[in-house]
Amino acid sequence: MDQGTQKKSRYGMLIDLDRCNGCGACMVACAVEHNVAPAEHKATARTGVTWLRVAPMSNGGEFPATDTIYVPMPCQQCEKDTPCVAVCPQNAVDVDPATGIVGQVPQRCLGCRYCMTACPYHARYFDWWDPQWPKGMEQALNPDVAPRMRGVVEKCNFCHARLHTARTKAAAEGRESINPADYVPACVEVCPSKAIVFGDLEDATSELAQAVKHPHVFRFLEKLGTESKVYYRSDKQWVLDKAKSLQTV
Amino acid sequence: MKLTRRDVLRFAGGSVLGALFTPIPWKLLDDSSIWTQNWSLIPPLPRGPITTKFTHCPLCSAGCTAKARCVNGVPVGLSGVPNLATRNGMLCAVGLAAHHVAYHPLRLSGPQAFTGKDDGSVLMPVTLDALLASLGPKLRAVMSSASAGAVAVLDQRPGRAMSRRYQKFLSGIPGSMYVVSPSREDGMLGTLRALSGSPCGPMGFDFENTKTVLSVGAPLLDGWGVPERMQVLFADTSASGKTLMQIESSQSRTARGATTWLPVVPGTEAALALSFANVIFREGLYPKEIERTITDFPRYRELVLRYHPHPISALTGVSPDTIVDTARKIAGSPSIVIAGADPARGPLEKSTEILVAGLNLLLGAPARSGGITLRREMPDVDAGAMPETPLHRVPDHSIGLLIMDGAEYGESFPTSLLKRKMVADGGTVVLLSPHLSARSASADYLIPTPSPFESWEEHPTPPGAAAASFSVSAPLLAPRETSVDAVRFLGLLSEAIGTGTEGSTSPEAVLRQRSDAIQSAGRGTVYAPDGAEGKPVSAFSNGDEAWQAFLDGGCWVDEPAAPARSGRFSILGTLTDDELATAARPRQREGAAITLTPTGVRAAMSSGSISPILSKIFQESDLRGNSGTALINPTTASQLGIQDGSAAVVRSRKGTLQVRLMLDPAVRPGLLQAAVGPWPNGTSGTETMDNEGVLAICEVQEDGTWRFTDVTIEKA
Repeated sequence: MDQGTQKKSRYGMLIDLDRCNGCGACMVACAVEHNVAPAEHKATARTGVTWLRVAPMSNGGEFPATDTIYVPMPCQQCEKDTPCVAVCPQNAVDVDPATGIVGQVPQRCLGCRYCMTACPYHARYFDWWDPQWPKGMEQALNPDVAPRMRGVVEKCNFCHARLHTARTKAAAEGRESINPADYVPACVEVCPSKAIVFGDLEDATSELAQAVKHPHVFRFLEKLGTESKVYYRSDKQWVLDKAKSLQTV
Repeated sequence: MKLTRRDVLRFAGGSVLGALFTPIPWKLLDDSSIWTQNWSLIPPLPRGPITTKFTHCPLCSAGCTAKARCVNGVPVGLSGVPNLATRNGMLCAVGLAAHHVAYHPLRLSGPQAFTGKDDGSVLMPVTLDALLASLGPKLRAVMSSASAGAVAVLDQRPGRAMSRRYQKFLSGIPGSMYVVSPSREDGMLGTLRALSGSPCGPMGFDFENTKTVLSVGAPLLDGWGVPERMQVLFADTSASGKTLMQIESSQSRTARGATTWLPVVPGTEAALALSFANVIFREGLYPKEIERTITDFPRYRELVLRYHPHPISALTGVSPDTIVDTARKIAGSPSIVIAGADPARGPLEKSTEILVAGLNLLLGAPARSGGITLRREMPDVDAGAMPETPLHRVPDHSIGLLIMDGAEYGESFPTSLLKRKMVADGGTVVLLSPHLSARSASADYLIPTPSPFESWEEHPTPPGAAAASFSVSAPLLAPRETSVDAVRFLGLLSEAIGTGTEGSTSPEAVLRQRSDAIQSAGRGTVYAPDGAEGKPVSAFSNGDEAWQAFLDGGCWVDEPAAPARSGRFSILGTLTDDELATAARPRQREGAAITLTPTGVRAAMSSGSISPILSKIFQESDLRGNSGTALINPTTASQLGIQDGSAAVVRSRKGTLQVRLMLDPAVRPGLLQAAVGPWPNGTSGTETMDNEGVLAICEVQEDGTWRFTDVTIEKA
């Protein structure tokens, strides 16, 4: 719901796959920002919690005619018929009409994982283990984000705590809208190759709204019609072809 | 109306069925789910005043500027400082979680000692006094007997004020050695200095003004030097107008990001370098004055003219046209050719390093804008530094007592290399480290030093930098009571052997001395971390002002050295004809099934020196493999009948290793790239020490390198 301190927005991001070098800084920054606990000894790519996961994607060519790009895959923030919202029996997932951000309320989640099954992007993660930090490390947690408990699903929310901070600052300064520079998700902030552009798709003058018009910009599984707000760009034809032909990610 | 048993059953059944359509069972399910969640394990979040403080990342030699967000003075987040003139300020994946390292579960709780390394003994806690009482006589014994080997310090971050303390300590011990990491990223600059006919100062790469960089395996876009500096210059070459050409056997991250990738047969890099030189010679693309400045020019020309691109193409796998084009490109613009040590694979073979370094001499790169710059020496208190000897160049069985500083500050090397350098009975090894690691198993004594952000840290000139620089990180966390910093340990050790304590007795005082030396020298500029204009050192009226600027996160950058004409060089150095004859041979032997090569990213090699959050990323995604994973080409895997993700046993003459194989078409067929680290979270100290992973089965060659090992693979 609109808080009265800002106009209606549709936050989204554009990830330039040709610039991403798979350094992993975004993954680390995301985990630190959201107090994601260190991995359980037995955790794997299937059972771990990484709100933003960067996965390599190959052109399938034989050596040396091979090429690989890295695909950061956060929650795609689907806007239309949001699959996870539709299946949640607990109303633990909602789409904020004021921002377009798909939110997850862990206190409501009963851990049925319907949403994980429904998510075509595999961008939701279940807490299989109690979150545990090495002794003393709890004092190094981010004070702005509450840790989640075992048995719930969690996912990227475009660093919602940072949006709150930006709104608070705007309100304190008597502004109706936030300053876009005050709301930058952690992954965007730390990307050393400046591969991620974040902004308000509703603001036609924003860098993002301009950038997504490029002909080489696409969304994964666009044919599903979920109108995701995470866009990708690559000037490599094989990437565009592969993205178009993907049945699943 | 008569109530029958049937009515009761129907009522009960109807009630149960009806209840399913009410919220009651779902609420019960929900509550059950919540009640089984263990809320007591959710930690309370830190509360208190939030402050920010500028500091520098202490995890590797880059020393990137960082802004620490603190609650109650304790750092809870680190972020880079973009657009900074000095250290370029964006943090890498390792640095972003550097504030967690102090809490790593493998931290040493106090001094420890082995009673014997090879008899299965376990680590035993000892008091510092007892440790010194045991170590002192051993040190005296080594000092008093030539046959007991030399006393040596292995310093993996040379150039610090602390490094000078080590050198000063060693200078009082005849025959001692100051040893540095074998995998120094700018090791080629040391080679160039050694090729110089006259003593010359430190050198750097003028990346900012160069047009073309030809890298022989250096991971320039994967954590090399100051990572953000390299990203800005070479990740988007269309913006910077530069060209990066990467010579590497597999398609690494740097090869992917480079303008051109030259996939070379492993071990033939030297032949390729000579073939580039062949084109440059035949087409007369070299500056003519080098005929006078290179002392062995005729011998070099005679050698080079044997390496015509056509036969070399068959050897290296690089087409003749590519060889010719590459040679013309590096000769046609200000260029740098880098022979790269890799943090996991280690240094190149000596002959390859010299022949690649020689290309810079052929192109007239030394002392030229856009080439190799001459740096000024860092202002210092103690003059007369000892010569640095990379570990792999130390004579075998020559070290009787070794003090290892900081353990793993970015790079790694096989324990077998270390053992080869120690005297026959193994000698004595003292390890100063905050954490247990694979290196701990080599030590007789473990000294728990303060963790990063608990200690005073110094960030001298990063590898390859064109100008000297210096910055300081003040502690953000209180050190543990049992921690012993290196300055104090060295002082106590000096007392124990009766040489007395010299100089400052605290790390802060040691750093202050260097700050004072910079202020006294009066040259260079201190740049504040907030991006404000730099302040010339000459504008500081006293040492206190300069020291305060460093405490506030400032970074000193030296003035460029005065332009100097390049001196005389020997382009082939000490290479013999026999060494040259064997320099250009393919490493993948015909008939050898698989060649193993270790991989890793700087500062993420061990389990101890990185955040458990970073280990998590390695463990829970396919972004990078952690220890126990290896990449193999799908074609090779298919020939071996191996599936993606399957377990396999890798055998070399040094031993066996169980790995999980992952298919990657970017890996050259016939190669197996196994990750050195990090260990998965939850790995115990014993596991960490007992198994150094892939490095344990790597064969260390005669020249101390370990880049390639012949192995066989079987399904587990």
